[in-house]
Amino acid sequence: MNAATIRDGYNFAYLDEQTKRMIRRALLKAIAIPGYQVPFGGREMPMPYGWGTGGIQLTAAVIGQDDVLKVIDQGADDTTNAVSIRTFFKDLTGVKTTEKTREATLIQTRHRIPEVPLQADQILIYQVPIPEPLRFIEPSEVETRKMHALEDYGVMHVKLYEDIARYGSIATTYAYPVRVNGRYIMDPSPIPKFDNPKMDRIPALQLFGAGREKRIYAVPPYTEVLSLDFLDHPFEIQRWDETCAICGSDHSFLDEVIMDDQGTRSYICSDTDYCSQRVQQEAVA
Amino acid sequence: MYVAVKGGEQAISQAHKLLAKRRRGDTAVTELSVEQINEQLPLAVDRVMTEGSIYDRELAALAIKQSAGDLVEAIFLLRAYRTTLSRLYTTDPIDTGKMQVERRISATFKDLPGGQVLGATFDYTHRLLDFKLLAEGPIETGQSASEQTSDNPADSDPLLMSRVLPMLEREALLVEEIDDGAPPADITQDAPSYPCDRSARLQSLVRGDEGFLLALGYSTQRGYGRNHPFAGEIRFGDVELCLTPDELGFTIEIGTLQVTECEMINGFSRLPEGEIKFTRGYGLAFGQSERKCMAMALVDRALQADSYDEERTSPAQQEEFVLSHCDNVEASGFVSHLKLPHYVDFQAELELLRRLQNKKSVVSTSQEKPA
Amino acid sequence: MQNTAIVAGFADPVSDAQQTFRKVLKAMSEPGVIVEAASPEALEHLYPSTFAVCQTLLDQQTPLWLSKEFSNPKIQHNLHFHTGMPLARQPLDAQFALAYAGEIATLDDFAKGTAEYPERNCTMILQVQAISASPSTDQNSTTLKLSGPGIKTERQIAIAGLSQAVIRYLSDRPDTFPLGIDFIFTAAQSLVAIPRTTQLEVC
Repeated sequence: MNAATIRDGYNFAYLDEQTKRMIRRALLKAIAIPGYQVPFGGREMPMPYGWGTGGIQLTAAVIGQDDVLKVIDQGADDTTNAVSIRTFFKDLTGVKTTEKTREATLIQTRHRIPEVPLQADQILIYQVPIPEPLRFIEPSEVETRKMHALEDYGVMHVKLYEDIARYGSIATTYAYPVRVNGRYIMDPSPIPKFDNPKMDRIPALQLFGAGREKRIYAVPPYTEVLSLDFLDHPFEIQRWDETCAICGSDHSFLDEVIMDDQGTRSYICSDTDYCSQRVQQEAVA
Repeated sequence: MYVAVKGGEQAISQAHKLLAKRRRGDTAVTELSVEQINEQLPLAVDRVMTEGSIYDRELAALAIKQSAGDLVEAIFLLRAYRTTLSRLYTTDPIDTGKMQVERRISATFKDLPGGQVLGATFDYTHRLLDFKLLAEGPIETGQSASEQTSDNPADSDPLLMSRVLPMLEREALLVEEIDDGAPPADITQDAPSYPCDRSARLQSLVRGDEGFLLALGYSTQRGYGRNHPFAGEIRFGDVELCLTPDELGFTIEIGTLQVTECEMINGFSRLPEGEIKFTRGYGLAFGQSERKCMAMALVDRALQADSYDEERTSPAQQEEFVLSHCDNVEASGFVSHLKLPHYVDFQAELELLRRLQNKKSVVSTSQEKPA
Repeated sequence: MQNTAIVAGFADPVSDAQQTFRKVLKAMSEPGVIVEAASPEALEHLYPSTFAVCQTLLDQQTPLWLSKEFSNPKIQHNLHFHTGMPLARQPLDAQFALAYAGEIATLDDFAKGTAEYPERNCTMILQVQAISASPSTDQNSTTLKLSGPGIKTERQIAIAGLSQAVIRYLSDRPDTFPLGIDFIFTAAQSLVAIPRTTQLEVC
């Protein structure tokens, strides 16, 4: 361990070894039961609950000196919370950090999946606020646990179908429920449904941490992740008529930026790394 | 060019500097020391230790200083520090029956062995602002008063006295608390699963937010899960903390803790065995935290609804609701996370809403056309 | 306390445990991929790989069941010294079980989890004679074709030293998902994992 780079008085990656072991054991269970939420003894971290403590605990439990860490929030590396989490791990592990998706071995994210396809041996760690996809239909944990046990997911379809009846289409735009490996219905965290297809049978390992709710779940590489839908209302992702004002992309998730008091709008890539890579490539070309 | 408000490292570090400045206040005023907080804000320290779940007065006082007096923030600081500590041993259970009592009252008996010991309490003060405390420098009255009490051994010497409720247990008037010897749950190691073990429930309540539990306890008094409480005994004082390491095979005393304990006697109920007995609720906290203990005892009793075949109709009786929302570190974190950017999700909603509205206008225009 | 010699564990417990964990994580998430893992010294006939896995995953919270081959004072004492793990009195209480894969006559006695808490199962750490990525002609060796989560299409491995009970459990999958047992098979310096999601075909 490169002790010189780590803040005095703290263990590598903040957590004590016993806590890491507990989280590591839960991770292995999560991988063995894809999409199932494994309860774990979530700890208080030095950031508030709701700010990524689940993801931070997972990162702390898996990270080692050879890792290269990327942290994004809303797809961007420079959002305040991403900066704060990256600084935390720099201070407490001394590992190398990067903004480039391709260079990273660990990517901790809030609300997005990078636009660049992930590779084998990369680990994507999601911060999850409410891990239970059935929670807003059934507030009781006792009940939702039974529903998962019995594979009783009728209510979820009813909910989605009510949307169709009321709005003419499914009105869930983010945290859009998925079915993993044909068994568990899983909350993909509040990523826009635009990102859902990026979870399906990818070479990278996907880990999900919900700190306040004390749950860990996982999707191993090459595991089927299907967004719920209906024959007459197939799943579809967001699309924009506009293109990115910086790189011109017409196929990435765009953030809307208000330009003036009159509400003039412009659009830019939410994934800042993707956007700047495109600009660079164009400059080279 | 495009100024999406994405703060960088610089913005954060500037914000931290501002915070430090705000916390320090006017530098012409003497800085508050951790020792002063420990000595002069002891009740704040007690609350932070209890809900922060570390017994260390100095660290709790430090947390209060660092958080500029925001106790929920101080509790959070202490919890986050707790995460980094290794567990070396498990101590023996404390015995509150052997407490060196500084204060003990019972609202159920006018007099009882050991008597009522009022101790230090706000209970019978008149809540009049004491403008003498505005004056700087040593305050004559306060000092001499404390000297007086400490001169009087009857007032200040801690006493050993037996607990009140076992007297009712012996007469078979009260449900007994029986230690079945099962190792208690540990909510810091295992996420709670509902319904909870009583030990897990009590642990959650000890760490639970005082304000939240107070409101819930209060609601039971106002008819939402009424349980007819009497303050059977409230005691505050020092208990010994002991350890029996496997490799030694004998017990050593490693220190003392100040704790407050509340045993509530609640309305009687017919037990499954057919007997009728008073029921009970339990509260415990570090330091002198009476309001917290009483609220905890009320909620503990309300949560025993199932054991006495009571219908669970009120918030205080819903175990999953109470326990999963009572932790203020969890609650304040999740509420405050709304300050984080959510523009990706908001964008997704915005896109849908615009599309729905467009579709609607298309639908309505087509309907307006004469067929 | 018995006077048994203590074998050296990880040289750098924090870093070595992390590295070993990442190997196990890879193995569990990509069933059939063989990864290297080793503690500096073997503990009697406990392989360096097995010893490393134990130091990485076990502690005071994980009751461990030891088979007859591993129930000796030196192994027990050393494992306890390095991890603090308690011994499971019976297979059903075990969160982890340690045995030779050839020793297992039945898996019926180990926890498979419940429908509501499928993670409450036993993870078997089983020592085998050899693991290889290519089919082996060794008659003691079983070639397995794996598919399922973590595997793009299919993957083959050969493991030497499995009992019939283990082979049957893996190919028949008597417990319906999500219930089941997860396996970590260890050779001297390497390991492979087969979680409950993997479908197997004996070739």
